[in-house]
Amino acid sequence: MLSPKDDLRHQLRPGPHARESLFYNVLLPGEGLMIFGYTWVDAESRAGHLFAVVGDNDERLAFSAVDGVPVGDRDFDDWAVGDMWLRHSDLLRTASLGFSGDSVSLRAEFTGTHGAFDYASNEDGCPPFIADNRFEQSAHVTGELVLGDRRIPFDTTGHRDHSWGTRDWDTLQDWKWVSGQAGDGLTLNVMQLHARGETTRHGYVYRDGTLAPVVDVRTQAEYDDNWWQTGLRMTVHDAAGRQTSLTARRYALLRFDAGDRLTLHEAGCTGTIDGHPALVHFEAGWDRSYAQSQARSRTGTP
Amino acid sequence: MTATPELTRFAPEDDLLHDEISRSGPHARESLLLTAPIPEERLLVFLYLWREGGNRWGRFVFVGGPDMDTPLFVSHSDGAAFSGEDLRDFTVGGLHWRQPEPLRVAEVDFSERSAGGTSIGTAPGLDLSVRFEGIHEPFSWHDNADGCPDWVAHNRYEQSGLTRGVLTLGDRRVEFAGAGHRDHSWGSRNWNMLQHWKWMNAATPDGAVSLHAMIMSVKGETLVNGYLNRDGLVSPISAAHASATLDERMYHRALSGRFTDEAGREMTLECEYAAGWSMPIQHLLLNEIGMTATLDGHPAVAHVELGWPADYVRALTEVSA
Repeated sequence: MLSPKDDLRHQLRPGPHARESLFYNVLLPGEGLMIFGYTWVDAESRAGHLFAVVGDNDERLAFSAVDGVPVGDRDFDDWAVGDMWLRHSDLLRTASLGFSGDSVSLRAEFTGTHGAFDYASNEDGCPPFIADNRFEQSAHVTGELVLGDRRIPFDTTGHRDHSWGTRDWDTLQDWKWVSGQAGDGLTLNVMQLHARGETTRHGYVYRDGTLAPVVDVRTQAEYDDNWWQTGLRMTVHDAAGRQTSLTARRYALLRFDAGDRLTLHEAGCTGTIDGHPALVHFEAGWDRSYAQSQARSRTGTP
Repeated sequence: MTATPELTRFAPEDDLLHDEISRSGPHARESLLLTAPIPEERLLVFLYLWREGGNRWGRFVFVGGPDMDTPLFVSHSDGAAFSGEDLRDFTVGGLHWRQPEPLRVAEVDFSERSAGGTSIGTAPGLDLSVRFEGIHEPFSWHDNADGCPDWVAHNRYEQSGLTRGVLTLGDRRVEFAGAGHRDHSWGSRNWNMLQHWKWMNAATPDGAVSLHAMIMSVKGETLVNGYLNRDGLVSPISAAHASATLDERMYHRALSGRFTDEAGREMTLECEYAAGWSMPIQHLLLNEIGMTATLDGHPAVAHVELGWPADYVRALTEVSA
């Protein structure tokens, strides 16, 4: 059970993977852009951020990454790491995200469209190598992106998450993380993990005013010659007995590495949820050597 | 109960080499496997031979014991000599294999002193003779909804069987009679596709009940193959769930499985470690473990192989070491 304090920093047990992290996205397919905002802090109060505005094929129109920045006791109600800032004012409901760089600036107001959902509420729980707990929330997002001489106001949907505890990426073999919104009233988040030979499923479906945990997921993804996902078909069963289908087609992609072994492929997509037009963020995580092997096998490269 | 579709029937010549399919092309391969777990003796007899690229033969012969890290006998040979008449009666690197009754019986003999140079292990040598009798017709992975992926093989059969034989490890002589498993695949084999798999085989000692199940993690998806054999009916598995208890080395010490076949039947498998060895193949580790088991609560014998990328195992076991 989440409490409002879970939107703030947690006491982390010291350790090599102790970390608290927060993620926000805004998908602007009409502009061919995906905004990706990520910030974290470890048990020694050293923080970082990864902020990117990308087009397709890892075209980084804006990219900033810092790590190891001392933040002391600063909390998420007034957070800043480098050029990225964050304010959790109405806890578990609203968040303000901003970035001020040389050629890019962002201001985005996130308002949750349902109560935050934590993975501990799923039948498979929140695996200890992912986090002590983690919540996900669909949101309505308004704001403005300035990219070079492009001024892009937006009023759309988005997503955010927050996890805390041991974040041991290297235990994962692969995963799919999907967030989607067909307007404010039909949204979902799904995470399907493969780790230590087991498959676990996490997330929620929000529709008709009811938020229900995911109980089963079927996925079928497509990939290009870089082994970057191009599309997805997904069927989700939730604890309310509902079946929800999602399709997605990529228009933007960001790639970066995490941990010693993994690569993350972040796809901004347009698609449908039960036939309704939707914005979809489809993250696929892979062992780097496996992803490289698959890319080689597709291109016939030895 | 739903109607069970007609299953693939193999021809006697499918017990022989498939030169047109397995002799050329990328990853061309033909392989035979026979396993005889002897959990009451805490032994696992494992025999595996292959031909790659049409002319490169190799084979593994090992006897695993209670300690995964201390095999009793392991002999591995790449570039082994082949002699004989197709796969009817042939020898690969001293492993003498006969198939006197097509699609039903295999007889294998092997004898090697450790001083021969190809073997390791605590025993000074191995003398082995084992006879395998299938308890149902071989089953093709093509009969599963997920099919036989073209990177696994053009075709592949799996068969539960009863095993009988004798082995001598130094001063230790063991006569055994139990249950085992064999397979035969031909076509391409691209091990790079696999992220993880569970290859599970179990049978009751009288052969009345058996299963073969394969759960593969491939390209982020899960594929299921295999069959349930009960009451004289072999039916393709339609759903499989298995969970392993891993130790600090990621060896599976126990496994629980639930399986459903296309005839609507369910079967449960419970098994615990008896004997095994971790076999390296290319970038993978194949943890081969003979297990005491139950099938739907009835005593059974199992062989369960879990396959892992070696780098993944190293990363996780170094953390916990």
